[in-house]
Amino acid sequence: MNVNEWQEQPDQERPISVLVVDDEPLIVEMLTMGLNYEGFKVSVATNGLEALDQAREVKPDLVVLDVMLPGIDGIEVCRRLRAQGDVGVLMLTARGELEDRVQGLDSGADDYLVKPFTFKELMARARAILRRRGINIQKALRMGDLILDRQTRRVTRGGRVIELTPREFDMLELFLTHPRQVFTRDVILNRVWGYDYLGDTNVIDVHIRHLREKLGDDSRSLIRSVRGVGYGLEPSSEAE
Amino acid sequence: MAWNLLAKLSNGRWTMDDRRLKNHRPSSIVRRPSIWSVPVGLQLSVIYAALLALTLALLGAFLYIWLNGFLVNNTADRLTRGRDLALAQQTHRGGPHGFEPPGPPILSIADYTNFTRGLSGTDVAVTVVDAQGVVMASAQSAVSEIAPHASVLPTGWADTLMARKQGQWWVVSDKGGKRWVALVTPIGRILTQDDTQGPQVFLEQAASLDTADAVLNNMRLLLVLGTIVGAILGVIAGLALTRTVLRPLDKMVRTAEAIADGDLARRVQMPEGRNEIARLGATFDHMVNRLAAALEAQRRFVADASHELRTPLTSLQGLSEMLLMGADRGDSSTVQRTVRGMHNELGRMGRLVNDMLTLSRVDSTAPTSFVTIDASRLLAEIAEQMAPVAEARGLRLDLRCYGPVCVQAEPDRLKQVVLNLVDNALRYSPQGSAVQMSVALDPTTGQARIEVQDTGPGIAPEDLPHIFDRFYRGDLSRARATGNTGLGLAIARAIVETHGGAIEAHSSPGEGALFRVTLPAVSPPD
Repeated sequence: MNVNEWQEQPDQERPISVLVVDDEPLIVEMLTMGLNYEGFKVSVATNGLEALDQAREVKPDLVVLDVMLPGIDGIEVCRRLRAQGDVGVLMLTARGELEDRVQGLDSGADDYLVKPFTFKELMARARAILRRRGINIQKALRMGDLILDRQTRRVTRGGRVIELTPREFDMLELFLTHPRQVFTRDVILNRVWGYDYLGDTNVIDVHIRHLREKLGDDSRSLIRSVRGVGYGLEPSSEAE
Repeated sequence: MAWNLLAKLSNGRWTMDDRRLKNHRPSSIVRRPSIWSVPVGLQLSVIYAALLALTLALLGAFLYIWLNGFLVNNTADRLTRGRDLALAQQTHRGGPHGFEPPGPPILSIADYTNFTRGLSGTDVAVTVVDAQGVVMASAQSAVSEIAPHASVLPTGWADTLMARKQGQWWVVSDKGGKRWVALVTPIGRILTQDDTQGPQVFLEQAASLDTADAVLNNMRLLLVLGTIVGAILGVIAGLALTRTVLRPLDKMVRTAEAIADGDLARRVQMPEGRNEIARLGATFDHMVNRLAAALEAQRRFVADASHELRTPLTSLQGLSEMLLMGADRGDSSTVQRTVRGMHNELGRMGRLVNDMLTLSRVDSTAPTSFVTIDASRLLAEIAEQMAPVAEARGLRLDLRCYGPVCVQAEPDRLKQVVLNLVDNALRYSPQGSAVQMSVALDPTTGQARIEVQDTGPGIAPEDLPHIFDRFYRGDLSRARATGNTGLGLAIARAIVETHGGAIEAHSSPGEGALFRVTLPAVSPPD
């Protein structure tokens, strides 16, 4: 694989910007927390007019828009957003009746989600919208000579292809998307194995050992162990 | 059809696009021939026409019989008058040829012949016959040739006449079947050649009914034709008329079918009027309006309820997910805030579910155990119960009552009403202020008045008409902050209405709000 391909990535310095529009404070807080954590830049509006102002100001890549808003409703906001400029819109609706869905999509929304939804699903749909609009969430993650291609699910280090199991790949992806962050074994279990996995956290240690072996990280300088807490990625001295 | 629609609704299986409805329509049932298959217009027309024909026929028959009687009587009268006149003349003339009163005349055959000549006319044949019907004397004329013989008279006629000693007429038929009026009168005896009294003889006058029968025949023809034509015209006119009258019904049927197929926006829209069809149309539209409104209210309630439940569920799901995926980045204050948010959402959801269950219970079950209770005592209980709550919020709860005020109520439900109102008032009152409860008897209306007054920010005029609506919350953010589910006042109204009372709110912004429940008061139990 040609390493030069990765250099053609869009400007990685500018994070993808998401505007969250909902009048429920807790939902706004939850979405802000989650999207921030996933590496997005989040701005917030709690009503239609504010949303339109914010959209003009921050020019978001994606708007997560609740249908039921005080003042002008989400459908109308979506219509006006479309008139203002090109932006991805993911609608949130508490109804989910067919009529509302069609209306939401007619008004120009790229997709919709019916409340209640899982944050995981929201992320999946948000990524899909961004991908369709040609805005890639870092197709390739890199740290030094370690490159992870999300689309082909291939990992190379110094040009050498490393074969990883799906779990190992997901774990490495998690570390690469949140460099320097230390993950507890529970969080790793939740993120990689899923919320409904009921096994022991010891499985993490086994997978970490395999991952280190495959990456040639014998000195444990890449994947760092934090005693009593968990694991995290340590940007190496040979960093970008 | 309307009944089908109603049946569907009462089954609760109504959906806007229920295709099964189509198969349940009476029109698609295998049709057996019955009176209900004949169009109403045709039914009515045929009935009208039959009645018309019957009336015409009865009238015609009556007319015919009357005219026949009139003509026959008239002819008989003519004969009688002619006879009486002739007899009077003969008596007046006297002499050997006259009739000599008293006692019956006794004349020779020649005299009788003369007498008959004087009586006969162009359509009247006159003969003198003996008791056996043998002709003794006759006025020879054209008509006497065809006149019926005395033998057509009913048997025993001579004895009858002798017993009555006066004339009698009969309607008889000749050999050709033509009708005659025959007037037969015992007039005397024959004077034989040896001057002795001969046998008793009778004067028979026979008048033809030809002319009368011709008139009657024409009339009969006219009556039959008239009846037939009348009946046909009756059907045609009746059809046209009923079609005009029934056209709105037809429209109504088609509208009802469209509505039954799910198009609840359709209306009959009859022109204004006071007749049965106009009223049926108006009533039908009114019914559909109410059904549509009820369905719409139901639909809105379900939509609102699902929205109200999904919102906290979304927060709960999302926030718990944040913790699971480590979005708190291990920051304990973030974890605390997140868990607090979840806790509050759970509380709100619990209240919401509770309120929805209460409301559906009030909606679905009529109160059964009404007892006479003293509203003053009930309010005192509530005041006592809520005092700590008020105190905790830095508020005062005052109760004013003026003696016992008794009402018929289900105590728990009425308590719920007042609790909701007090809770609402406490929510919106500024710290340090007082919430005023009072109960009084309005002597003019005989109503018990329970009032709860606060000194809060009041209710905006545009919200005032809606505050008892389900899930209505004028200022959403404030409602959320106070934990209002938007059902408390709706529950209060639903309960008050099942108690036959009314609830109202008075307020102007900045002036606080006054909620008043009026219930019919009753006299205290002994």
